[in-house]
Amino acid sequence: MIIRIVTTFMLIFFNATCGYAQDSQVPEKARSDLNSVLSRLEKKMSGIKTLKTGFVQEKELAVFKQKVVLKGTVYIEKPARLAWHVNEPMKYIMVISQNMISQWDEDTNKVQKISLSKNPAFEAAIGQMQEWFSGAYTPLLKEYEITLLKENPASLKFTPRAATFAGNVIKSVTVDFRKDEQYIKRIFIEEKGGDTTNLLFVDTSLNIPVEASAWKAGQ
Amino acid sequence: MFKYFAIPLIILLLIAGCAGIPFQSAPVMSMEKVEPGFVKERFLLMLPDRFQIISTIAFEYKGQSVSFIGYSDIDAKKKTFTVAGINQVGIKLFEITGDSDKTDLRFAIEEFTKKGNFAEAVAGDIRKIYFNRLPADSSKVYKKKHEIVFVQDEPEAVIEFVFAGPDNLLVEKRCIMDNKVIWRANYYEYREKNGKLHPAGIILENIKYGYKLIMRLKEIRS
Repeated sequence: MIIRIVTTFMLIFFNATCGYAQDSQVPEKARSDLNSVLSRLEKKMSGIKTLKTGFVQEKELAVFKQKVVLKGTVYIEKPARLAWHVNEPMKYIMVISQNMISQWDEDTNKVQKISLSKNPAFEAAIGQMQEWFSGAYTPLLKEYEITLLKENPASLKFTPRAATFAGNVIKSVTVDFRKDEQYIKRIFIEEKGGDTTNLLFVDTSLNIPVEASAWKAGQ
Repeated sequence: MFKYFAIPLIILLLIAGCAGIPFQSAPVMSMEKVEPGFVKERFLLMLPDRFQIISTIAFEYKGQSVSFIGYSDIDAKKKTFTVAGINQVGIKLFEITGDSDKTDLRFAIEEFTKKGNFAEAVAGDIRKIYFNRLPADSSKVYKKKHEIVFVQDEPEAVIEFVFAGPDNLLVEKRCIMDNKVIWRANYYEYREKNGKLHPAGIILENIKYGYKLIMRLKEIRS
């Protein structure tokens, strides 16, 4: 169950922005602009080796019309390490490293480990995530139509195509880049059921040494 | 001389007794002079009719545990509820609405729907914890030294409501069938908001099915 949940998360947050499709309906000029922006973003992000960023994640459940706010820190170290630390409303750590994912939360105070090689779907999601953070924007998937909302700094809207995994649950994903376009400023996900997720990255530091404790799942 | 042995022993027993409970139990107070009717009336006034809360919930079953964030909108007066669970990375796990009889599963990830009736199980737990926290007028009352117990007969079971502590609040609600407790809900560390009381910690132990829910209150929205 945990694998499925985390895989879904990976697919939503990372696949969504992994690639784009060469849509024949899109005018040549727009496609050229989009290609140019994606190439530019790929180039700018290729210089990132490590990343530490705070995040504020606002989950609005349509049924409540109120938000659940999660705050924490994300650490990334290329080529294959990611740590997702939640500090509010509870403490939670997820570390993806090598062939393993480790999870810890303060309520259970237990570390759960999942092998990636034994879970191909999850491994695939991680692989796509790694490509995203490597800045490789060559089309990994043909799942989305991409609309260039703003050229500089770039803002992209990803709309899942029909009959795709994302198309079943996601209405659209909007990704706004920060001013220097070296990293994402905000990801906004609209789900088909009316729920939304606004993931804002704050205090982002690039290419700094990441403390060893970041990769430890547990207190 | 006795006290030099008794005090450490009592401390040891208290520590041992508290092991595994992540909340403070209500202090032991004499209930001998407390009037049961007053306890019930006062608690009724302090119970919120409708509230929205955010909690973290740990589910323990056969040595395994999993936790998630719960968002609950409860109307204890109308006996309706809407609850949603999301995981720590913000993915919705389930969304359920219902009342005292009916349950509507609006959404659940596939893993939750594969075995048994997940929605009914969640709805049942919500009803046990948040609905009917006051004993019926027809309940029998047993006054003990440190608690007042209301015993309410149901068609197939007995529900006991235990009130204790300095504020004489509900600390336990339990269901007994064939002289065995089949589930119990314990309420800890009541917090006041807008004149109403909300337990900051709840433990629901379903003895019949062998699982435990530990709920930690994080935020009271209304």
